[in-house]
Amino acid sequence: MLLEYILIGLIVGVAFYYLIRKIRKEIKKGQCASCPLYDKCDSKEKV
Amino acid sequence: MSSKVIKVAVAGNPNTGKTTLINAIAGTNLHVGNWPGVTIEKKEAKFRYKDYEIHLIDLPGTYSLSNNSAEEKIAVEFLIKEKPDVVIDVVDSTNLERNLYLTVQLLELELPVVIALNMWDEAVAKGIEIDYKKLEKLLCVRAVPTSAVKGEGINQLLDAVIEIFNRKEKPVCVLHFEDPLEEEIKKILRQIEEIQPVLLDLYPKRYLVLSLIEGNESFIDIPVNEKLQQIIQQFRQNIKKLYHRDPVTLIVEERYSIIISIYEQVVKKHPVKSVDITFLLDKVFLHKVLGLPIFFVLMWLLFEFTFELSSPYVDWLDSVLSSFVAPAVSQFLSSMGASEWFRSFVSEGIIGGVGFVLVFVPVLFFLYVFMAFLEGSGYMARAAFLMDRFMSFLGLSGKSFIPMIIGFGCNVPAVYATRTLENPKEKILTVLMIPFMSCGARLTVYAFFVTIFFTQHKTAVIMFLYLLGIAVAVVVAFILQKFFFKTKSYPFVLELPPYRLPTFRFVMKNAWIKTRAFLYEAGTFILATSIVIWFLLHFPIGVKKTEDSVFGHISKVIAPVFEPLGFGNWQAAGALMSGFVAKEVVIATMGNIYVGDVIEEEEKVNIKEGLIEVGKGFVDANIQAGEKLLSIFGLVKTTEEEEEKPDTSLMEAVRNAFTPLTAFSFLVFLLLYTPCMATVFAIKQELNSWKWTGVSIGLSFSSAWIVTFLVYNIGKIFLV
Repeated sequence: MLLEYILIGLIVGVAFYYLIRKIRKEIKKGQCASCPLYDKCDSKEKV
Repeated sequence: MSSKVIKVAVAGNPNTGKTTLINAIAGTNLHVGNWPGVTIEKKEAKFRYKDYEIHLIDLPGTYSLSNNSAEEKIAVEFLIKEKPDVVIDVVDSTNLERNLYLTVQLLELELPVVIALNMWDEAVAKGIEIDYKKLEKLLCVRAVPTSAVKGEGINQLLDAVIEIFNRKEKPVCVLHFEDPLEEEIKKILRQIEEIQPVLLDLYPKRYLVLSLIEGNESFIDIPVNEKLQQIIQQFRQNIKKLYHRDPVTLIVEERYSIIISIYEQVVKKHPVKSVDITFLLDKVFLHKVLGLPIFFVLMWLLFEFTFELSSPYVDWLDSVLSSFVAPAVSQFLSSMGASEWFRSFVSEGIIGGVGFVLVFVPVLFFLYVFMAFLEGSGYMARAAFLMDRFMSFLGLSGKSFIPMIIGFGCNVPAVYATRTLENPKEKILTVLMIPFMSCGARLTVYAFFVTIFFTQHKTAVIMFLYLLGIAVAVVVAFILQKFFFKTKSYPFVLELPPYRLPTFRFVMKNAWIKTRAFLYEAGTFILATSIVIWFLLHFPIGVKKTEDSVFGHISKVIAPVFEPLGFGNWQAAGALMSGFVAKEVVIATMGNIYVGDVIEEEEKVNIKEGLIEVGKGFVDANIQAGEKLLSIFGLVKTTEEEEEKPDTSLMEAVRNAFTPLTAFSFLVFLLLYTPCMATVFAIKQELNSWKWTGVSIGLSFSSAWIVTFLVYNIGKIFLV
């Protein structure tokens, strides 16, 4: 039971972390899109 | 040994196949379509060729470098400031005369140019013969015939790029205007050298002088000296006196006289006996009266094909999930001695959440297939053209309709696509209209509900929802325009591309790229959201009923808002609340909430037999899809029996929780209410204003509430 609690706790924690990171990334992506040449952005959209 | 890096900019007119060429060269999957304006931002691709590392930069399509539109500004800024080693100028060989205008301006920028004579095969078919060796001599460039779609001429093009890169003396020709004008240009150059020589260090000489004359100075970062400005002004007046024309027109005419001279020397047209299909099709598709009804019929067919062809695969995936995966996982966990709580986490949080979203992936795939077909065919540009009449009524142009069409796929790139609109009011109004365009994510929820409640009228319901979104956007825009914006519509100039039959590879690749992105989203973002929602539905730990959880409490607080709309229960309110994260999360939340209520003790599952059944089911799905395809054309009759499908636990629970009317109201609300998180951030960044972002959220929520209220209450009158 304790192992299950730890496992679920870990998965939920990772899920929360992922969501927060995703939200921050969305904000960042928006900033990149607003400067057409990506000069002021950290992450350039590259393929 | 480190390889040499070559920075190559890919420029060209809109819809000449720049992005297709980059995809063919670098093996990338950048979005392409047979309509102008698909690329509105700079995109890069890196790859190795021979001993070189080549960085390709895909610039937006522009007809000139006059720095007037957003696309031109992006292109000019890059070409001047980042000084690429070589520029590939992609020209449409079937329309060389018009495309050479940009080439002439690229040479004014003193950049080493390699011309890709793209669509060479189409030009040959049309009887157009281009003496590209002579073109090379006349323009001091390298020219290579290519066909990006067929992947022809790619290596020769890259060899030409390397050859130009390795030349010590970059061959750049100056294309001379009439002598008196050239004399004036030289005089101005001398004046700049005396008064403000720094300008000549920063910018290409000829482009600088011509831009100063044309009054196109936005690319110049430092203030132009007043004395120099006076000299330019004086020059403009002299030119007017001398030629009786304004200098901008004169320069454009000079460029065209050079182009015509070159064109006549290099192009020969041979008569070809062929029917102009584009002309004939446009007679029908752009017909004054029939154009719009045909557009609606095509939309109808799009949804009919999408639903009919995807439904066997949806049923198959549904049965795999409900009759095999879920019971097998549960059985495995039971055998491992897992607690009920842990089993609930897996069956509700993971399978109930992500699984039921994945079931509807075939719907999206088929939609993307047909959208890719329309994009590749050239019809999208016609749709924008048809809508121009309506848009001008709203003070907008058909150009605003292009981002709205993109919005049917996803609202986020649609919002970014509005940067091609120069008028700020038009841009704000278009951004406010985009969230009403029904995106692919919403389609998964519609598909889920229509499968339960409107089996016989799937296409009609979905089509109605899409049209309702457009209608609400139009009404909202009309009201805003009437009372707040007062925008003036501008003439809409759009080049209509020729109709092309998209290749099977193009359609499948386009559809797969989008479906893969959705699958990735489902496996990461939606899974994470579903797990978090499961946690909130079971927190505080030990809570007996999900309605007593944190999620249940918050949902119950907002539920009364939806009471007048017919779905005032906490489950529906909670699902809509989670839909702010992403619209497809609505199903994931419902999976979390309802699956737990109805899950029963499963029968024993035999894995081997189950897998055989899964395989058999897939074969059956393919046969059924084939039959449905034939039945659409009236070649085979499907029996009514085939429509009867057993309900899965989630579908059964949702059927019990909604009536057809409340389900329809729920879909109307879902269509119109607050856009998803990613769209909200996109609006904030594109308009650079929290005020307008707030207006968009408020506008969509209030419109959703009012329209749903009307739909529900009018529906009640008719159904009583």
